[in-house]
Amino acid sequence: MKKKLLLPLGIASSLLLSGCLFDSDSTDNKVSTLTQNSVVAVFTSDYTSGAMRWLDSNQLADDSLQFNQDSRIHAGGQYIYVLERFGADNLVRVDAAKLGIGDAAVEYQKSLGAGANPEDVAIVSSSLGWLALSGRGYLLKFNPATGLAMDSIDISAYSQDSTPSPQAVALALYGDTLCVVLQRLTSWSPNHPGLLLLLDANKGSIMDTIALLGHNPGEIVLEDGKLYVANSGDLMNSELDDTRSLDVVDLKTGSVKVLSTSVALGGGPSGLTLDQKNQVLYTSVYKGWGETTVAKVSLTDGKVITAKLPGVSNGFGGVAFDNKTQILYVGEQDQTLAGVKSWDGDSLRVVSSPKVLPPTGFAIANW
Amino acid sequence: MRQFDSKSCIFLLSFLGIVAGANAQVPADTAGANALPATEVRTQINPIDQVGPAPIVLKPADWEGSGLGLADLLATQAGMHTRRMGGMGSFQAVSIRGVAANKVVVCIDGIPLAENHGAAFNLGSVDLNQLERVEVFKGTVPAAFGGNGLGGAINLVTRKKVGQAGKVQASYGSHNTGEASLTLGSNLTDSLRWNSSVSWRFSDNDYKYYDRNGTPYNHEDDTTRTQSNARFNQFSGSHGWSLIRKSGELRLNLGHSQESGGIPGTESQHTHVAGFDQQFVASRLTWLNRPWGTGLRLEAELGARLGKDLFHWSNGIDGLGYSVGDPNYQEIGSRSLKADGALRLFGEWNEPYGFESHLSGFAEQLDPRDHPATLNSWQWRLQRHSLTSATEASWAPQSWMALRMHYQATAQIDHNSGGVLRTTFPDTMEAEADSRMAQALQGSLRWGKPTFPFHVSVSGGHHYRIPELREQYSTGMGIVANPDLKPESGEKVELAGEYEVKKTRLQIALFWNQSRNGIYYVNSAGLSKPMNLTRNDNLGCELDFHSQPLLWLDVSAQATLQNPRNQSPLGAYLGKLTPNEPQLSTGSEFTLRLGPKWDVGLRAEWRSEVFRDPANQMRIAPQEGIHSTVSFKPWKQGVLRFSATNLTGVEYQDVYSAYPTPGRQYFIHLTQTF
Repeated sequence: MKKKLLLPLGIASSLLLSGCLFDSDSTDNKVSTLTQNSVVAVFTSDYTSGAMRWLDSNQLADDSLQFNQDSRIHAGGQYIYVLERFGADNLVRVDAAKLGIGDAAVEYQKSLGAGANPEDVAIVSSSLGWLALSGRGYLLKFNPATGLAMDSIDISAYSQDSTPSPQAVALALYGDTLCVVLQRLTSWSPNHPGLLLLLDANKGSIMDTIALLGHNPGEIVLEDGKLYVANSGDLMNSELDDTRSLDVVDLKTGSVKVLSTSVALGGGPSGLTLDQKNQVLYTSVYKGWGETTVAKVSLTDGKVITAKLPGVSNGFGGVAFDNKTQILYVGEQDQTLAGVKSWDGDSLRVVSSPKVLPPTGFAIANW
Repeated sequence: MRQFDSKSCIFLLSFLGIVAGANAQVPADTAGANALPATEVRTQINPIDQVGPAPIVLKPADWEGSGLGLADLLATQAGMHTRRMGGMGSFQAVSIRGVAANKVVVCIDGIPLAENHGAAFNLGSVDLNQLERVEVFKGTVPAAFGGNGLGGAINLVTRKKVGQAGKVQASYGSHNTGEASLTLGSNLTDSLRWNSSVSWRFSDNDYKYYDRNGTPYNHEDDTTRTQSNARFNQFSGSHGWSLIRKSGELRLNLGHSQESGGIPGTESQHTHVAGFDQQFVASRLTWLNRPWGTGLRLEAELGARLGKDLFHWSNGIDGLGYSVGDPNYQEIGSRSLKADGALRLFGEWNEPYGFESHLSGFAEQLDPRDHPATLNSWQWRLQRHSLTSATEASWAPQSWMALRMHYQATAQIDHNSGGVLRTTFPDTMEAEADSRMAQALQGSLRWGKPTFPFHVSVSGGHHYRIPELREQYSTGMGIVANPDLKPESGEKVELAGEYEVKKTRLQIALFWNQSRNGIYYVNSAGLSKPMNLTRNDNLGCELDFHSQPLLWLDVSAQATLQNPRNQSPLGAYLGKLTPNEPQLSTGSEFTLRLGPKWDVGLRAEWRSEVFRDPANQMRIAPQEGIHSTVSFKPWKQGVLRFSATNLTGVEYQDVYSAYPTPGRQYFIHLTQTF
């Protein structure tokens, strides 16, 4: 009887216990390897999973912090704010100085409520900040130190359809004025030009509105009292029309004009970043699905200096210019060449390991 | 739970090498002692059919009263894995040997099921009460099922109770979950038979789960919630009539199902009103001709299926995403109409030779189901006409050796009616037609006399999967059409050994498979486009062991050791583990028979870590599961079972892809045969 039992029970039991060999849980002691008071953070995603990575000694670090697959990152001094969009709807603050030591770099992660869809953040002070939520009909006033909401400003009156949200998508601070860019979509179609709201950055009171010229505004750059707005138009087609343009808003006079047309750019501008020293803008130009080039545009007259940066196939993964190092970073999303590329004015270099997910955005933190 | 006894041994032997499932045939006049009555056209299989590795066959005794759904039941088998995404009725599919579920051919009574947007067929919508048995072909796919399947094939055989008999089943358990079914059959006349089965399943799915609020770095907002908007209700049935004539048998089968329920969403993105509503009716007329002279036999089939799939939600209330049109109510769905036919020719001469030839075709049309409240009134009509020829040839020159070859070819014509078909770009599409042809080839060899305890088989083949209409032409917002999608293709090889003596059976299989041109959705500028990009391969070993060492004790064990890897040119995926595939999974089952009336069963399973995503960032820790059943036979042909599933009550989830599932559940189940 014992012999009859031994073999089958032994086989059955050993198979179960063999699982212990495959338990690969492990913990690592991590030490930050950052050597300078600035970091270029990169959000990477294939829209299944997402992670924030960073450059360390001009190479993409092996380490990462996992976040929702659809997230945007923005820098505010020493901190990087991760805005986890649809599917998570969270506000996260990461201490850039602690990157590389694991989860301890995350200071807080606060839920904004399902459907909030945060897009941008503006930090007025250590205790006052604003959040643009494209899923809500209000701007959220919050305390950056704690991540807790303090107040909200109703902007639903500016919505273009039956939803309460006018799709606030970008924020910038001009002195004590908070600039808020609204997309004003109609059933998620950019059928109308965008709108710029000007608010008192401390009180939140709406002071003025300025109608933009292009449709579907996205990224913005503020320089010397002028707000540069990238209007990508309808991404569902690639016509070179007036809905796509690079606009410039004079915040002192309230005037708006087209800096560069879609014809001159060869497509609709989406990403935008500023080289302060040389007074040029770099913009990622959407030409069609899978094709986004990077153009260099003069800030003064809108002339397209370089229509297509060499070596970039699908730069929809974002552009960011590090004014400290004078290096332009480009997010290449070509499915087999995906990664971070850097441009120093002369040559393009592949920065990231080929084994990471495609980049979707950048944030440069300095402290 | 699987029961192993001497009768099962004979049954298993008789099914060894089945390559034509329920359609395996011998001419009635050459049938041996196990032949069915002469009025039956179909008899037991020919020894020629004992080629290749044995398929898995699961019967009601394996699942009745266990509390397991179809996908969970299949996942107890070596080489098969599943992921739960909720309670009863929630989406569930299985992979086979590391090949994704959407590449596993799922058939009902040998007929491949309708397409599902390129996604896997939802086994969660299958009611086990309607089934007589479940067959799994991990290696070669029988010509009767199309002779092609990258991931193998699963055949769901519906109940066809013959004679004066019936069965009533009822169960009830945790979270207001219940099932009731009635199966009846009768010989209406000497030549006319009828069988019917109706079934009802329901559940509130209001189980508790741990909600981390979508904030893995913040534990202060974690709480325990009760699942809501997850109710499920399904009523289904299948009915058949069989008329025996001198020249053959005529069969008419009707099937129908109506199911509806809520779609609760993920752990951190919970919905309130989102739900689904799916219905279908299907009919099939089959003529089985009596064998002509020596060896040849013909079957002919005609079938039709009408289905409706509808999903609804409210962006205003559910906050699910970007809405088009009315934010208070969103709806998306389709109507499908499919007609199919098949001609099958079987031949077996002088036993060493045999062949089957199957010619089947279908015509399918998909239209949107318009809702007046939405502005999303995309205009499209998609049609597909397909013709498939599948042939098997067998040769058994010696009693200890048999060889089988399969060849399959499919020709298809797709038609797009033009108009605003591409729902992402408003450009008008011209009407166009597209045609293609694809071929599959399989072979298998078996050594070992039927009476010998040891057998070895080797099989291999090339397979493909043609993209479905909705993968190519895009009927979903935000998805770019790609009419140039190529078929996915791949190869698989298996070397298997079986040892069976008295009441012990051991099966070991080494397998390898690879797939190319896998369809992957590439994202850019917020739009997705399906492209042929991915490559995967898997090398592994399976072990399947059953024994009855004592009269009162059954033991079984399964294990799968594999290395499923992504070999795509996408750098972030290269060399990573295939999503949802563990490298090691094991299961053990013990059944104690405590006298003639009581049985106690215990099943324990374990799997190693898996990753939910291709980049292997969403890690799910190793997981165990323990399930138990106690059976009692209070009276003749009646069985009362008490079962407890997931006794440890845990399910590990990645926060960003977490679908709450039930923890521990209890059921009581009554089966009465009469």
